Amino acid sequence: MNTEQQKIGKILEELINYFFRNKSYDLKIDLNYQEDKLCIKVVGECQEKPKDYQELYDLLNSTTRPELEEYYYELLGSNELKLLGSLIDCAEMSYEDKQLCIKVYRKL
Amino acid sequence: MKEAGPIKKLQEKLFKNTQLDTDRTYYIPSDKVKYLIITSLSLILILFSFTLNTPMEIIEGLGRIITSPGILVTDFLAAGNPGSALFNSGLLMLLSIVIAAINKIDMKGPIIAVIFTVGGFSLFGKTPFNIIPIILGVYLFALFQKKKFANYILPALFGTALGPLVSLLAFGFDFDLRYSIPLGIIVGVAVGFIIPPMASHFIQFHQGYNLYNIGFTCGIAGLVIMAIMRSFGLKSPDTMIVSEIENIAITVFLFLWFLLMLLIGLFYTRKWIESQGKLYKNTGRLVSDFVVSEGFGPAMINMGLLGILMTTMVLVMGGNLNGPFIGGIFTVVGFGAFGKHIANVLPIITGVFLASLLKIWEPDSLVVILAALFGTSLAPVAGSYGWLAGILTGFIHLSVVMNVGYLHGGINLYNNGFSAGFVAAVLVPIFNSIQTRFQKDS
Repeated sequence: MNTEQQKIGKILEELINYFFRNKSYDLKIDLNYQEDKLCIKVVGECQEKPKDYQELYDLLNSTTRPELEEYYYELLGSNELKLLGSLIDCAEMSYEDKQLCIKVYRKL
Repeated sequence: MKEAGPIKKLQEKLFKNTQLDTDRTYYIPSDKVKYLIITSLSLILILFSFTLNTPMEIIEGLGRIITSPGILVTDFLAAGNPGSALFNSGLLMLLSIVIAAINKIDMKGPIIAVIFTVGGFSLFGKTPFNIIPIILGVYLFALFQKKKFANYILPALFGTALGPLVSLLAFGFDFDLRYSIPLGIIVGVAVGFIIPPMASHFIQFHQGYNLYNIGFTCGIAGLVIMAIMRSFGLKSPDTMIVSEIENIAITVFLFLWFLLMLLIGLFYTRKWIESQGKLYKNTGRLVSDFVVSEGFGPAMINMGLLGILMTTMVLVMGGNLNGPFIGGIFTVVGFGAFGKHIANVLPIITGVFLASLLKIWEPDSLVVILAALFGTSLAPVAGSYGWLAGILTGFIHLSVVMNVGYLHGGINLYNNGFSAGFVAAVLVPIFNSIQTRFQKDS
């Protein structure tokens, strides 16, 4: 597995753990990994809108930080949303009918 | 509505075109302004060095510094002179800033931390001669990976912890300089080449609870390298060159320098106490970029306060401001933008101090004060698990750090970072299981 694939696994781990922390355990995951881009969509039932919903949206849509990515990506998966934001180029989020949807994009 | 005081009015007038954060707590200066501030702080350090020694003395001192092996502990205030040591420090801070600027790195927490760390360790180990090969090695690794050097700038600059290896090979043995200097440079480049993959891998070992991750990485690398060197009969000499002079000018300068940082921070912050209270709630675990999460102003306030507190602590504990102590203070200050604050460093320092009262080392000794300063690498443990956990961590850290230096023979300047990796790896799972159990009960 190359480094980029390891990072993708870590991004997915962080997203899944986010849903778990918000007590959403029945997830539908769609991962599209192409040569030049990545798209991950995770949808799960969530009884309440997460308190940090807006904060997560802002983080995922902040600029990437390459100096953090190479060095710290192994920390993803343990509630490192700020670090996740530095690996994601942009994201779409929605919360409707108790369904939380997070879709992230990353250029490779 | 309460009328704004004179300071607030001045801020509103000066910063009328500067963005505020959403809570209107602090102003957000541009990256150019942040670069200007950090560069100015470095230039002030260089200018101050000329008040301590004449330019000729500084040049002569630099010559002695650059040709010394630089292994732990080599205080450049003694090996060179105070002026050359501080000049070296300011110069390498500027070099780090230039490298960051060329690579278009935002002036945020991690870069501020590394600039001050390089500056601090330039008082007792790092020189232009021994850091450039390592940075070059990381650059070659970036080329090899077909990625930008910007992606590896942190391991490049932090990785200069192994600078003494370059100097030791070049100047530490009785080799012909025509061969030993290129040898040192080549080995430095090779070390720089292997640091990035190791650094990103080893971070899992302590899970971000050791802020000096590179210290742990370089400790492991240094362990292997020194083992190989010893196999060929190349041993690093026991070194303890430390200045014992009480330099009032340096003491006054440091307090004023940190006060300046504090004032800059206050200037860019509207709600001083509220912003610091919020900052202190951070655990500090990697990656805690206070410039991003709390604002540049509040981060600078934190840095200034930490600088004043650490300098006072060293003096109260009976130490004089020598190269290693000032280096330790600089490092704590730099990480005031990237994980450390008063609430998470004090438990560690308390633990180290309490340990010194019971163990074989004196509280005012070099090793204890260094362990207190650099042991704050474990601040995230206190931030995450509380004061008692922090005190216990500091208590254990003093013992471990005194037992790991031999492994790398003093070529890894971040010896406390090396030790902290082991301490975090052992204690964090234990604290985590206890915390989880109590959370289940509640």
